[in-house]
Amino acid sequence: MASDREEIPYHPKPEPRFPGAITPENIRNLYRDCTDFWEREVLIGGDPNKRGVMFTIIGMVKTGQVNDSILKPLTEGKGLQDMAVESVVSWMLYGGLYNMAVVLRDTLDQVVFDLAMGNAILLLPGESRAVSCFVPSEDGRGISQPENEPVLKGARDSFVENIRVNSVLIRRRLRTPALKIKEELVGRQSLTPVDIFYIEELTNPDLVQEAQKRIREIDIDALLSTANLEEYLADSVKTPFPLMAYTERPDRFCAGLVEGRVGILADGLPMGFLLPGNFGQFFKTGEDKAKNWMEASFLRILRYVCLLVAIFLPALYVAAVNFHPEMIPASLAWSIVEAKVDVPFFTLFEVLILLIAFEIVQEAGLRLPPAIGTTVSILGGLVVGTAAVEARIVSPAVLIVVAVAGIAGYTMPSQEVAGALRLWRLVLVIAAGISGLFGMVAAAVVLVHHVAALESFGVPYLTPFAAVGGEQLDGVLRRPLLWVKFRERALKVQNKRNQK
Amino acid sequence: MMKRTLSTGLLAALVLSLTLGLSGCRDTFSLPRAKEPRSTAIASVLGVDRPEEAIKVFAISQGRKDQPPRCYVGEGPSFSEARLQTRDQGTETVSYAHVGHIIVSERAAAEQLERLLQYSLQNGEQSMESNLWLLREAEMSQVFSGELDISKRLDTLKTSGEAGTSLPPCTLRETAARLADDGVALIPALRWTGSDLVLAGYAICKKDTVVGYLEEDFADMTAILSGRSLFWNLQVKAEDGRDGTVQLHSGGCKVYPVRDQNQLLGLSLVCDVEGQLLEVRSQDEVSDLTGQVERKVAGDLGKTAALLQELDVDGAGLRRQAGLRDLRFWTDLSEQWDAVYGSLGLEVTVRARLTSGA
Repeated sequence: MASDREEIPYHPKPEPRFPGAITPENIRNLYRDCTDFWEREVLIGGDPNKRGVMFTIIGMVKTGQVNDSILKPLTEGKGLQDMAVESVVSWMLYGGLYNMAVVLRDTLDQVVFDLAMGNAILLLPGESRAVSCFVPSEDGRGISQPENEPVLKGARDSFVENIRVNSVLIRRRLRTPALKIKEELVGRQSLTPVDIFYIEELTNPDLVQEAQKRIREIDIDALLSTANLEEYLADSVKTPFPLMAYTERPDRFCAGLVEGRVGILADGLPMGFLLPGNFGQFFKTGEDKAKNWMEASFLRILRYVCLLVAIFLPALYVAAVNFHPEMIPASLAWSIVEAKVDVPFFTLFEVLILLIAFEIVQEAGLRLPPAIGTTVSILGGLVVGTAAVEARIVSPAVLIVVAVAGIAGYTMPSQEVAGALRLWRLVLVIAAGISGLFGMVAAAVVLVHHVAALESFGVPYLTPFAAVGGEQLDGVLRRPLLWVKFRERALKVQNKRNQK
Repeated sequence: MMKRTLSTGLLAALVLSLTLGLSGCRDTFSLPRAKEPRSTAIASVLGVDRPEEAIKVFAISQGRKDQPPRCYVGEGPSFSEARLQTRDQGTETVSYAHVGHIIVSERAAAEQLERLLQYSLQNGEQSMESNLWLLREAEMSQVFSGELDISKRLDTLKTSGEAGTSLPPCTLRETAARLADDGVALIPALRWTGSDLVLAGYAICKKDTVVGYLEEDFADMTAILSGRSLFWNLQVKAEDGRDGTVQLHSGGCKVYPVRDQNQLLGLSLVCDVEGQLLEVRSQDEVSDLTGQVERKVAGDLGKTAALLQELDVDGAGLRRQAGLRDLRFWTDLSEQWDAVYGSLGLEVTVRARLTSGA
C-alpha cells in the first residue's frame, strides 16, 4: 500500500537509447524473442572465409529487392573474395549493391532505427560499422479519395499511413528544393518518424524551430493517435477548440505550406497537420478555391451564421420562453404555449434532454457499422423524436430548435470546432436557464474571452478577426485570387508577397 | 499561459456571481424567476376604463383549442395595480407580453393617457408597438363581455389601415412621439354597434384631454394630410348628369413651407391623387371629372386643415413635415410655429390623374 503512494520519478530518455558496439551479438540480444527478426549469413563473394551477416525484420523489407539488390551482388560480385573488408564496404557504398540508398552506420541506435524503418543491416567481419540498405516494403493502403473532405473539383488523392508515400505526394506538388523536410523520431517504443515540412525562403524560421523543439520534447511510449501529436504540440489543452488544423488532402497541406505555415506528417497517421492554427482557418474548406469567389464567400458567411445559430439558438429559445416572452412574436408565443400544455418538464430540462439525446444518437451512429449506423440514426432522429413529441415528453418547438442547431453545427468544416461548439452550447443553455439573456450573454462573454486568449505558436487564435486590425478579409470572404497579393501577416513570413 | 488561465477562471467566477446576483429583482441579490409558458394565458387585447375614481382593466386572452377566449378584469387605484389584479384569476397567469391592441375609453384617455404611455415605456413587458384605440360612447364592459372576437376584429382593422383602405392605426410609440413633439396625437376611434366595433374617425387627444373628433371625410383627409397613403371612393357627377364613382388613391400630402428668409409665411400642401373611374367615360368626360376631383379633394383637404387650425392642434404633423422638407429652416420653423399656426395661409394643390373604366 505504501508503495502505491510513492511518487514514481520521471526517468529521462537514455541517450543513447541502445548503448554498445555494433556487433551481431548486441543486435541479436536486442531482438531476442522477436519472431519476425531475421538473420542471414552471407558469403561475401562466395568466399566461405568471409562471412557477413544480414539482419532484417520480415515484413518490413521488400524481399525481392533484398534478394536482387543486396544478396545477389554481394555473393556474386567479382573480386570480392580478394578484397579487404574496408574495400568491400567502399564497394557496397559506391555502387556495388544495386540499391538506391546505402549508408554507413556507426552507432547501435542508428542500426536499430534503420531496422525499424525497414532497412537491411549488413555486418562484415572485422568491421565495427554497419552498412544499412534502404529496402522498405511498400505494403500498405493505396492512395484513395479523402473520406472526410469531399472533393468536387480538384485532386482526389489523400494521405495514407506511410509517411514516405505522403511526402512524395507533397513533393509532387511543391517541386522546389526550398521545400525542406526535417525528421524526428517520436515514441520510445514506437520510434515513429515525424516529418516537419516548411519552405525555407518563406516560413518564419522561429516557427520551424519552435515546432521542432516541441516535437523533440515529446517523450512518450508510442505515437499511435493524433492526440499524441495535437495535445503535445498545442499551446494549451485547457480548451475544447482545436489549435492545429489537419487535413487528409495533400493539396490543402501544400496550400498551407505556401501560406507560410509549418506542416507535420507522422508515420501511421493518414493526415497532415498545419500550424499555427487559427479560428478563421477552420471555416475554410478545400472547395472554397475551386468555386467562384462569390459563391465561396457566401458559403463562408453562411458557415459563420450557422456557427451563431448552432451555439446560440437553444440558449436563446430557453431565455426567450422563460424570461423574455415579449421577444417572441405573439402568434409564435401562442403556438409555444399551446404545445407546452401537456409537457411535464420545464423548458430548460426539455432542451437539455434533447441536446443530450442528439449527442447519444450521433455517438451511436459513429460506433456502428455504416449500414446499421445509418438506420439507427434515422430511427433515433425520426421515430424517437416524433414519438417523443406525440407522447408530449417534449414540445415540437424544442425539437425543431435543437434539430436546427444540430444541423447548423454540421456545416462546420472542422469536426473539432463543431465538438467544441456542442460543449459550449450546453454551457450557454444552462446559463440562459439560470438568468435568461443576461446569463446567456455573460456566458458568451466568457466564451469570447476564452477564445481570444488562445494562441497557437505565438499567433492569436482569433486571427484574422483580431490582432491584424481587420486587414485580412480572407477570414470571412474569399476574395478573387488575383486580389490576394500578400500572405497572412500574423504568420510573420519572410516573403510577404505571394504574386506579382 | 498560467496567467491567462487564471484570468479566464477569475472572469468566469466574476461573471457567474454577477449573473447570479444582479439579474434578479431590483434591490435584491437573487436569481430571476423563470416563467414556464405552460400555465400562461396570453393577453391579446387590453381595455382601460375609468368608471369612477378607480382604473378598470380588461384583458382578453385567446382560448385553448376548443375553449372560448377568456376575459380578465381588474380594478385598482392605478393602471399597474389594476393590471396586477388580473393576474391571480383562474388557473393561469396572464401574460401581457403580447398585447397587440389597447383600447382606452374616453374617460381614461382624458386623464390617464399620459400615465399609460409612461407605464408602457418603463415596463419592459409592455410593448410600445401595441396599437392604441379609443372607444367612443360605450362602456368597456359591453365590448369585452360581448361575443365578438375583439382581437381578430382589431387585427382586421389594423391590417386594412396599413393597406390604406381605412384609417391608419397608430401604436403607443407613435402616440407618445406625437404627444412629445406636437403636443397632440390622433387616436383611431371605435364605436360599439352592439355586436361589432367599427371605426369612428380620429380622436384628437392632448395630454389631459380629448379635444374632439374628426369623422368621415375629415378623418380621411387628416390621414392624407399627415402623409399617409389612403384609398377612398368619391361620388362625382358628369356634365351629362350621370353619377359616377371614382376610386381614389393618394400617397399622402407633401408639405412645403413658404417663407421669406427666416419668416414663415404659409404652407403649400401638394397632393397627388390617382383615380380609377368605375364607368366607361370619354376623354372629355375624364378631363372634366379630373377637374372635379381636384377641386373636391382640394376643398376637403383645405377644410380639414382649417378645422385643425381652428382647434389649434397640429393633428396632421404639418410642422414636422414642413421642417423635413426644408431642414435649414427647421429651428426657425419650430420657434415660430405655435404663434403663427392658427393663422397660417395654406395653399392646397391637388394633381389628379384619372383613368376610365374598362
